Amino acid sequence: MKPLNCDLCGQQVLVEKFSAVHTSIQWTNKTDNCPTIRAAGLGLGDPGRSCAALQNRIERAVLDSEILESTIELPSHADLPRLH
Amino acid sequence: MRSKENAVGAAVHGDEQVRVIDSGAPPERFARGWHCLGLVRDFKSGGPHQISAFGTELVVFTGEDGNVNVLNAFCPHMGGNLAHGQVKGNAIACPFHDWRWGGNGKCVDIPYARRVPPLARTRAWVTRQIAGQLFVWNDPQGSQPPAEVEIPGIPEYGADGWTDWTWHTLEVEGSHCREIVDNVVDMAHFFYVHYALPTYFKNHFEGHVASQVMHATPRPDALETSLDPTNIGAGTRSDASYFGPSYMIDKLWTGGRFEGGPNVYLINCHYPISSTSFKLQYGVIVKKPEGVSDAEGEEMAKMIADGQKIGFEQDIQIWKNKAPIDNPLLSEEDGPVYQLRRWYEQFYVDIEDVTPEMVNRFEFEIDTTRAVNSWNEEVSANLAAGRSPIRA
Repeated sequence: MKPLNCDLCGQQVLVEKFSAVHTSIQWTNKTDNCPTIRAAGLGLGDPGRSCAALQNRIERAVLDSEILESTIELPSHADLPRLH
Repeated sequence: MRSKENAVGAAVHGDEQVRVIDSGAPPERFARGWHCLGLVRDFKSGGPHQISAFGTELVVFTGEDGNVNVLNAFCPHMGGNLAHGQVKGNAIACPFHDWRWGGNGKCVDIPYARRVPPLARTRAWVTRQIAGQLFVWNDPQGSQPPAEVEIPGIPEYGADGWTDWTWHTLEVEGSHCREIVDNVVDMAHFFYVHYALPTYFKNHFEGHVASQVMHATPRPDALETSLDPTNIGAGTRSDASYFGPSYMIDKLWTGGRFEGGPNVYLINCHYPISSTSFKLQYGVIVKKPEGVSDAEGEEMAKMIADGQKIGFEQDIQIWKNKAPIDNPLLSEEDGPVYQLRRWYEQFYVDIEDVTPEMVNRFEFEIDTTRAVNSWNEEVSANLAAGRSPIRA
């Protein structure tokens, strides 16, 4: 996953694209640090809980070939999520 | 031939490398969180109710004061089953020696004894009643529920123009309840198992909430399972979130309407019975369209719930016959199974061991282009051949 910093607040997220339509975003900090999400005040689970500046940053990174399409990588033994 | 497995879940058979399933082992503990036991109205009627959950037995009883209480079912005196006892006043009386237990877990009376011995207290489970449903808090560490994980209400429940719950329960034997939670990210199974054709599919997880946003059309070759029998063929928007490990609220916009408020709420929840069985419950409330009578509204809710039943029963058929798999082999068109399971892991570790990877926000939008093209071809072929995909 490619690290990107949001233009608005400078927070870093990790981004991955398998295709033009697919996007995966892993936040590395709490969303409380995002002024847009904090100001909107929408609860956890609300689909409107997102940041337009971050979306723009990702779209630009794709256009600028900062983010290239990749393929899926699966975790192996030690990294598998377990319940026991 | 015995195979030797290497670190990436592969093994060598002759000259061929093959993938090896890692089934793991079911966890010994039960998830921390709120669990819905069912509808308050069902627990208020009849005598005490016995619930097998969290590897033990619970009794749910309603006192004369109308309070619904949940206690450990086995009486600390000699182990009698309180669920086989009687409600006397605001207490539950054991059928074995008539010891009386209040809703707070304290022994309030032993009619034949001079005094109640010290430490005569059984476990009273912390409960909530939300939108007509009864919840209990499970925490292997014995802590009280934090405010930030309270189950949200459903403002439309009980409002004018909405039906009451149509509610169903199914018992699933031989599977850990992670199987049903996996459905959150499993875009493709909605086509094969639930007969919906997803056109848009996105997940987001954050904190104790895992969500799925899906736009789907019913499969034209399986319309009897449609969510909206009054408007067959129209698209559905679904915003579904698990609040904690076991309780999902699914808001639905049926009939091709994607804006405004939802017109259907579907609850999909479960509680573990043991580490390899669980009780699956689902319920529906529906906004009655203009000019529709109460009875017709209830009938709509029932039809939607029946459509769901077909899908859930097929899920169960899959689970009953599948292997547990900790190392699923995924394509780019599968959802983020591993990330969902990382999120789910937070409920199975001590609260102080919850890591940022389990709770930090994660978003994943699947590219459905290829899937939709392939599925449309399959549906057309079925229609042309007069074939139904629904298994008899």
